[in-house]
Amino acid sequence: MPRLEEALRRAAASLDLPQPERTRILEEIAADLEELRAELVRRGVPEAEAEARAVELLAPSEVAVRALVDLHEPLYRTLARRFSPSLMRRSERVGVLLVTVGAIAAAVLPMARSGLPRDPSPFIIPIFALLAGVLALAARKAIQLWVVGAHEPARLRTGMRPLLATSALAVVCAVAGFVFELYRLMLGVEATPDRMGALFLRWILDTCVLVGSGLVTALVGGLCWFLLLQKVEAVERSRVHEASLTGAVRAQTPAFEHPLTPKGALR
Amino acid sequence: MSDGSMDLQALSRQIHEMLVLGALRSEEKHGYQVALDVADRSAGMFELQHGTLYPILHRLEDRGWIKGRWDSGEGRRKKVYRLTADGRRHLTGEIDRFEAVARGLLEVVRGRGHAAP
Repeated sequence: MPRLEEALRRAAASLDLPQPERTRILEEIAADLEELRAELVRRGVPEAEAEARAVELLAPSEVAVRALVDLHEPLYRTLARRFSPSLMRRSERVGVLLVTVGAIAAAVLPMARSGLPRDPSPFIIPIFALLAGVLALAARKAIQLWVVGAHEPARLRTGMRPLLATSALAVVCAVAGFVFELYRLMLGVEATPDRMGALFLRWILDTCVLVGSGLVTALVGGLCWFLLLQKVEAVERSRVHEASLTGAVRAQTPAFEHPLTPKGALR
Repeated sequence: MSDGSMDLQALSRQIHEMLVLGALRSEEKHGYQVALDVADRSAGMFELQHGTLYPILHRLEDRGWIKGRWDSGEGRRKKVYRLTADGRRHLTGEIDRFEAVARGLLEVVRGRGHAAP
């Protein structure tokens, strides 16, 4: 059925929508084209004529594809056409900043209210910096995947490894902080052996906060990475499915001009 | 001029929507069955050509007048649409409205009192 596949490929070439919506639309049309061709053949129409009739009725023209894009276009793309790229870039950054600051505040405020840690380790600052990094990376990637719908193959997995690496670094920081604090405890006990009990108790409390913060950062990063990976893999599966529908070696998604992409970077 | 063409576009869209809703009135159907049904029942007078069916189906689904579901009974997944209660109400209203418009138009064209019953 080369004519049906050709018609689908033509539709796919101008169907500028993010996955998996794009593949869902093509899948619907592909199934209908095939069913209509079969139905017409059952009615006694010659094979070639049935195929041509199916294409004539159901293969979407440029106008129909444009109407489908208008219907399913994500809000971000609609806004991107109305407002300047710099404004969109700024609002995206503000979004990432708000998510990061909000999450950090949600983590730090209860800790500050409870008065912990009493004697903060110097390692708590890099851990909170890493938490901010994890949240910013995850928020940026989530915005790209869900809001912007930037699903170009070259950029799909961008930012995933740094997210995982930042999460792992938080564990390293927590372990290093634990060792450092243990060393400080030993020095304290050595200097004032009579205060060993109090020093030990304070060490436990402060180390719990330090190690807990590191582990929570790693956990948040890992969880975000896992959730983002599900979306990335769903997009990749859709792309493979689309290629099987259109008979293309590789599905050709029209590249969406994302404001953060330097000119010509995707070409 | 431009106002007139906009009205015609809107009218054409409404007619297409009514045809699709009408095709789904009795039972749920695949997209290709809707296209065939419209062509068959109107004896070729109305045809949803060049994939114009899909924007209409998706718009109606968006408005909640029809509901689509994926049917994977026999191998390949296919989308099936059915008319919702809202869609049925809308269709009934549109039929009444179109009948009134057609009656009014015929009265004007033929002269008062000569419209078909």
